[in-house]
Amino acid sequence: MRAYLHCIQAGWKNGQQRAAWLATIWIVAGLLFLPAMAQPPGPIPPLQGSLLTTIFPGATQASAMTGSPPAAEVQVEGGFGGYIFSTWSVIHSTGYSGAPIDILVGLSRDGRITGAVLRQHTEPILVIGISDADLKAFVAQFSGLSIRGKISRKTSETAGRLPDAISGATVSSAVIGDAILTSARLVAESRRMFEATPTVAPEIPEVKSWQDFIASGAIGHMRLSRGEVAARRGEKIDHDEEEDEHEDDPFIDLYAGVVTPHAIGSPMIGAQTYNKLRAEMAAGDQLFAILAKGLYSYKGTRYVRSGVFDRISLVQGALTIPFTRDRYVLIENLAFPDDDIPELREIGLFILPADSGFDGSLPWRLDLRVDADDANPVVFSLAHTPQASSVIKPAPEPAPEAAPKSAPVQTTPTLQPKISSQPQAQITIQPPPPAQLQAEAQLPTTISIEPLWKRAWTTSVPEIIFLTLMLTTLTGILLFQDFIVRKTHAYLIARNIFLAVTLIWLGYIAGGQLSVVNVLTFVHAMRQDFRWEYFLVSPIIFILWGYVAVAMLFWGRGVYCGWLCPFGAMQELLNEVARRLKVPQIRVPFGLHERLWPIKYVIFLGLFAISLYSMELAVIASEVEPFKTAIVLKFVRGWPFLFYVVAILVAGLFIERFFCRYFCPLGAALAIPSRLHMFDWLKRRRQCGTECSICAQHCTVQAVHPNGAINPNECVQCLKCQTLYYDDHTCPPLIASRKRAEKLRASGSLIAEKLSEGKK
Amino acid sequence: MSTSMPSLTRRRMLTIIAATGATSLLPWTGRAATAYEATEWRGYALGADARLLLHGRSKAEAERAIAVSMAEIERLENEFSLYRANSSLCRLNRDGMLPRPSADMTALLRLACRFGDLSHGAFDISVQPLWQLYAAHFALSNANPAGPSEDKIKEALSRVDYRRIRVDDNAIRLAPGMALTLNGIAQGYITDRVADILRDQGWSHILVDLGETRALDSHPSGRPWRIGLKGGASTAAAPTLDIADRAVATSARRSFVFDAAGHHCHLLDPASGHTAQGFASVTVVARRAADADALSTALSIMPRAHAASLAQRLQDSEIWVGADDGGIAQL
Repeated sequence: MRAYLHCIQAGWKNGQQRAAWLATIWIVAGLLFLPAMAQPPGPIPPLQGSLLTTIFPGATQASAMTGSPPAAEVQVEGGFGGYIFSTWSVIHSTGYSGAPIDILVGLSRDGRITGAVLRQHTEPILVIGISDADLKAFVAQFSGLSIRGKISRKTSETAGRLPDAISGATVSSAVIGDAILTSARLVAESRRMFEATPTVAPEIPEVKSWQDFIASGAIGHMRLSRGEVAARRGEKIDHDEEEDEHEDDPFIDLYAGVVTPHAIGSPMIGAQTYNKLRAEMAAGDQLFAILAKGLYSYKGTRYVRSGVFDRISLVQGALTIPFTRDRYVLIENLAFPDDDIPELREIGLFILPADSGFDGSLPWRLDLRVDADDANPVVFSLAHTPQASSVIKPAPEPAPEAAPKSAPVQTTPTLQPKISSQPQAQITIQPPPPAQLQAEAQLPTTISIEPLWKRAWTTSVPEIIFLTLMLTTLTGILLFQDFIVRKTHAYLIARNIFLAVTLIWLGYIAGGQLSVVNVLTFVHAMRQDFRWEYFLVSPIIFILWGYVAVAMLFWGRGVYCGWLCPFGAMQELLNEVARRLKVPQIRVPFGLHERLWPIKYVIFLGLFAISLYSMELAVIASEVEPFKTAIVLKFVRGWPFLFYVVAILVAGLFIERFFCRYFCPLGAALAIPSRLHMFDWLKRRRQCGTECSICAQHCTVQAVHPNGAINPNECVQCLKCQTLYYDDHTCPPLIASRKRAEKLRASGSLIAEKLSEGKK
Repeated sequence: MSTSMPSLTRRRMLTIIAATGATSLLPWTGRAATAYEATEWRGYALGADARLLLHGRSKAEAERAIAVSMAEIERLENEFSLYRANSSLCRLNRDGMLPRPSADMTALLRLACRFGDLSHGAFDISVQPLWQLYAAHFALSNANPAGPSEDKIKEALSRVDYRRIRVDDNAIRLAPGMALTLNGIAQGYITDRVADILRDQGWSHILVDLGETRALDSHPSGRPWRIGLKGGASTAAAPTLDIADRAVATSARRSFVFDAAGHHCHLLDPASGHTAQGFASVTVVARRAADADALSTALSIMPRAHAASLAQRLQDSEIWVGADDGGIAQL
């Protein structure tokens, strides 16, 4: 540690101490791969008193949590009322960061969520932006939601709608919502709650690997060689050709089966994806997976246009279930930990609606059409009888109360007329006229079950564009700084405008305040289960970080601190105002100033160390950053936090960027890798530090040493020193040469003017 | 529709000699000491006698295979039957449009259109308006034995043209007034589906006979399957076909006729609008039953000269034609 700090302090002075820096990087890299500590939630508190009635209003008593998945049976006046379960116990729910999250949820016997209480979470993003109370209120909103039907995320649909996401934490909201709904569905399913006589379904063994998956009894397999296909097509195979290099390549190696059960589906596609899908699926809907490798694609390409997968269909008895694009979920990779997952060419997941009549517990057959395009199609079928240990008996559809059955037998749900919710109105349902059928059939509807992060990006296009514009402007300023800073006055105004945009738009409107918590989360994720998705979910933060990482390598950390940090901008602008109001500025003597710098590194390393022990604690300790109070929560917070922020801001009126200089752990974290920066474009004269120290006095953060050198660890790239560098009314060497030139010009010498030009 | 139509009973034009012979049959009938267990199922499917000959696996497995076959027949009848008011085909005829057709429906329609092209329009699944015209005409007790009037035939023909069927994966559309019949090909298709499914479930050396006949591999004893052809007249000597891994289908004029005199058979010529007057019967041996079924229908309708030239072009198939006098010869 001492060596490390020594490096930070001394490194810049002694030039490139690459060896020491490499050592530091290795130490950090080593820390990344320390085994991560899991922090499962503690034991569930006894379900009684106000906790019980909050989760399950009207409950008189709850049993211990038993069964699989575990759930407590709840008694109400008049007998059995439903269940209470913990999402952690049911699905090992994790939050945005991959850390455990636990919600206690009540589920009434008719499939309604009676209440939900957030018991534990470590959502760093949440902690930055959202108060605990917001989160608890969000969770409580799930009360009353019925899980019997499909639950839509679309706000336009009123029936079975999810609570509105917490603004600024859409991802965490979605993850929490998925955890609640999926767990509820699994508990309902395991207790066969929606069947005529609820019973406990047998437990399905957990699938842990591809081998388990294949052996689970849920999955059927068919391997076709090219020879078999040619034979059925009536083609002769040239035997020489058959023995070519592709001899071993199967025509297709097909795996298919029902993966609805948590024990099979969740390990297969990953908990987050599984939860997201299950949260939306209605009771009785099935997840059907089709995996393949080989030469032939079971998907083909025509589905893109027609909306129908023409090469495959599912058959059960006399029932034909087509695979359509609106029921198709694209999965990129399987989540099994194995290395021995065969190299699959295609992975597809289909949601089979309960009203398709498909019964996952009965034998089924997958028909595979080869060459559906030409008129010589041959069909192969993969027949499978699911083992009892791999299936959940689907729940019957709840009997429609007043709805008469609609006429066409095989129309798909999207074509069925929608029943309006007018109370007591006499509803007669007629099949839509052919013309309407035609119109609807021409437009293949697509439900996109895209990853959360994709949704986040598509919904914030305007912000992304504006931010890109901002970053392009900044890049322009940095690239052409030599020219831009010569217009001192205009440049300073432009800079203040930029800072105002950073503060108001980036900070307050777009929520683009980076935090040391991001750094800690990143490191944490690297040690646990690193996935880009965790970071892609907030586009603004992601783009900012990407830009900062690159800019850091070019110019150092100052690009962020001096231009893009909303809190930094706030401090600088306030100080600007203070100066105009003639608030006296304190110049910290350099000796003291220099000795205060390390504080921020110590804070950062402290936070880093704490995060290795407990992310939760580190997040709390990160409150040393005033960003959350000042920017994210817009000062709407308890008085101790306000006091702290105000104190920092007041200090900043006398000592510019007081917090940045001495305390900012984020600045420290950025300063460490900034050592590697490529460009040293800040110009100095040989007189700097010896004859003149004007720059040092004007430096926003006093990054200029008495010897005239600029400390890149401290510099915020405000370029004020560069405006002075070119200012022939401030910079003494320039003043001197200007005066000489003026004198010569006064004597009318043309040559002298040229000389002075040349000097410039 | 079905009520106004004469009920269709197919008379069988093929006999499977293996199943009715004496000595060669021992393994099939035998509970006697045989090398393999054989199961013969007889029933009624697709409006005709049906038969499955299975062997080589346990009774229970054979029963499961039969159940699977029955379910498949049921499923496909729900697609292709004209006699089930809610079948996909009937809904298509009724609405002129079938949204979200099954892959079987689109595949069969595409195949049927290909045979239409191959036969220069003789095989046309859109002759249903013509059929309805003939059926309605002869349903009357005082029907003109010459058949419907030329005007009416012309009107019906205006609605016949398989090239106006639009087959897309997400919808099938007919031009106004059109209606389809798949009776000339669906049986063959269903026979193939059942045979292929049984093949995929590990069965070999079996015979599927659902009006059209399809043999997987040879007879279990190693010799070919023997199919006897019945001539157009009862007295004629019947030739025997030896087939292995092939399908056989026959179209015969007299298997169904509209009128008592037998002048108007069920084979309708989309070129003239009249009933076919070609060969008395056509038997096609092809790789697949759907092909055999469609080709036998097409060749019965086509003028003999055209039929002969089409037969020349067909590879991998054998064609036997029956004359009105009952003689049967290979074309």
